[in-house]
Amino acid sequence: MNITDQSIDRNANSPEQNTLLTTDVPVDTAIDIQNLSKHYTDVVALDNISLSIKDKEFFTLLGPSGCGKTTLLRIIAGFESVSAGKVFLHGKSIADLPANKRPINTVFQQYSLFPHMSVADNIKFGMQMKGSSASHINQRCEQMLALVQLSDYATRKPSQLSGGQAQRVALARALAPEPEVLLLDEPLSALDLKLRQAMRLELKQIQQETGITFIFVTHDQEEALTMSDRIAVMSAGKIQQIGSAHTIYEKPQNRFVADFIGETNMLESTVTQVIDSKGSSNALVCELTGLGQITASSSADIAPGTTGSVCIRPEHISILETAHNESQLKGTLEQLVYMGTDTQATIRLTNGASLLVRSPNSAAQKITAQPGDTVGIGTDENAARFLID
Amino acid sequence: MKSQSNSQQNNIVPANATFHNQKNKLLLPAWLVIGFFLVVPVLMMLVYSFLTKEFRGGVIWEFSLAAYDQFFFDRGLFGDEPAKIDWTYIKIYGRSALQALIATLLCLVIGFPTAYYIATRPVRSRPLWVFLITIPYWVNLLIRTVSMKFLIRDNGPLNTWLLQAGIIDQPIHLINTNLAVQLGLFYSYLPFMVLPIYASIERFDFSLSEAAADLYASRWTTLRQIILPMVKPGIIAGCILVFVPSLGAFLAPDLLGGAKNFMIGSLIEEQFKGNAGNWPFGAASSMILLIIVLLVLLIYARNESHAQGAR
Repeated sequence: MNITDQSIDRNANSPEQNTLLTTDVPVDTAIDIQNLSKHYTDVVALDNISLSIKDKEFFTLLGPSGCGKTTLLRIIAGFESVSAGKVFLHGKSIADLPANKRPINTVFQQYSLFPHMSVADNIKFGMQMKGSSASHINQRCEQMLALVQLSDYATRKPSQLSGGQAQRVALARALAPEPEVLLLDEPLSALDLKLRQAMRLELKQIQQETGITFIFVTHDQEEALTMSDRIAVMSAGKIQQIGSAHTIYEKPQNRFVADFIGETNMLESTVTQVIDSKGSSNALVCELTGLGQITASSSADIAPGTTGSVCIRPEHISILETAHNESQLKGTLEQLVYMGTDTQATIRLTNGASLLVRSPNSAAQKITAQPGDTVGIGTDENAARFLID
Repeated sequence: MKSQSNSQQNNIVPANATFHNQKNKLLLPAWLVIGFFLVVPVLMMLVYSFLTKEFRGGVIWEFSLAAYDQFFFDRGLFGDEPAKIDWTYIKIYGRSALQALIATLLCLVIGFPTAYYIATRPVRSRPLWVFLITIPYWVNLLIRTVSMKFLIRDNGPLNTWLLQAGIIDQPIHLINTNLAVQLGLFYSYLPFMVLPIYASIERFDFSLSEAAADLYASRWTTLRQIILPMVKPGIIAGCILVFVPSLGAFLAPDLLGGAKNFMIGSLIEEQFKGNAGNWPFGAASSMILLIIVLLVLLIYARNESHAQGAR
């Protein structure tokens, strides 16, 4: 289906047209976004984005503020029009459907509970608008209150709730009408750390219990890593990488992803040899400028002579007290910082670059070297990753 | 009529002045001015209404209930017949209330969309719109009302244009009708409706209407169930600010309504004019108007505190 650059007029709201605009995506796809762009007068908020979100998936849009993740969420919700591209919900185009006709509900960042209604009335609102029967509404409302553990709070007003309680009411209100997709716009950002951590697990559990597709927007990588089935890392209106938490963290596709998720070391290097090329997983030998050689993996096809960076996570580096062989990387230990579960070390490499090392404080791996010592540097197998600049 | 709008504001704003003792001193000049120019005239009116009338205006310092008796009862030409209820003045009050009510509704129907429009403009352009709303107030109310009288005359510009455009065959008779009075009141007090409603819509969190749309509510339902309940205080304030001065209005009914559409303002004015007046009766009429207004405000305040308690 060729739909590139086809602009959509949201005012032309014709239901007949919607059923025709179906796509040949697999049935287990909840949301399918094709070549979506959103321009404001002089800013490109979303630049030709394509992605599909599976049914019952916990999908996270992760990125720094201004990357377009909230715009994308608002487009799916129906609060923003698209400049170009298509959005499908279970195979049906929803681009022309106004927000109140989409079987998609949202948990808003500031909760947006109706202040003049009780907790129960807030939860019932969506079901009443859908025209559900009164008995169903009451039953479902109680069920939702139980789900978020607020059964005793049905008659309270939103102003009488704590942040965490308001957050759970917002979740119950959005889940009550049984949406096909639930959108969550940084719902935990207004909570304090302890509550945020508890809510992560609770959210994940509720998602699994209800079996509803969750699309979660956050700038907090820890949130994304702990909850998501898959994560889309976004930057500057583009998707940088889509994958599981493990893939995103261990096999970043580019410098942005490697840099944004967790801590990392970037070392300038040139590819000298391609050992093994298997399409998405290639083994390379890289010359680290001024340091020596290292084997690294890459997900893209790369020719010898390509320049870029080798990225190594600090926890995949170990400090060796003595140099085992000539080819090994060496440096001077500059600083040791005790951080409870682990110790963070800064090493000045022989080419002048600084290397961050994180080593667990277990008896077996405890660093014995002192600042000023010359140390050898070992890396875990497959820890180094070559990224084109 | 100034006295009423002042006392009414005291009722609307909950006075929680108990715990800023120091800052209370800042209010002292205002209290003194309002106290002097509000309390003294109202007390004078109260006293005058219980005095005996002097035939060429003024009062005789002799206690009498004659003014109130004259307002409610008819005892015949010479005052010697059995008392029966006199509807003359009660009718004037009823008509005034009806005119004020219609003017208030007109202001609400036209003022609410206006206020909504202004409140949903970009923040930068809102002051300009508010400014435009207040422009008519640069011209004196008397001049505006007289010019309105000129515009809607049978052979005035409005009728001339409508005739020339072929929209009407005969001039519309507007002057000295109820409609003219309602239009005049509407025109005089529209900003009093727009500004408080604007202030409350501006404070409305429009993410709530997004939330309502997200939960399958149509625009109309969102307006009725989410926006209106939350901007209700502004609407009520606007209605009071239009209704109360409309009820006792003098200029619009006098200039546009003519003798047939006599309203409270004109009735009171006549009692103090020239030699034919009746000061105690004018004072009693004023006191009755004041009591009606205070009752309206009391009912409103009581409803409000009930609603607060239920929350």
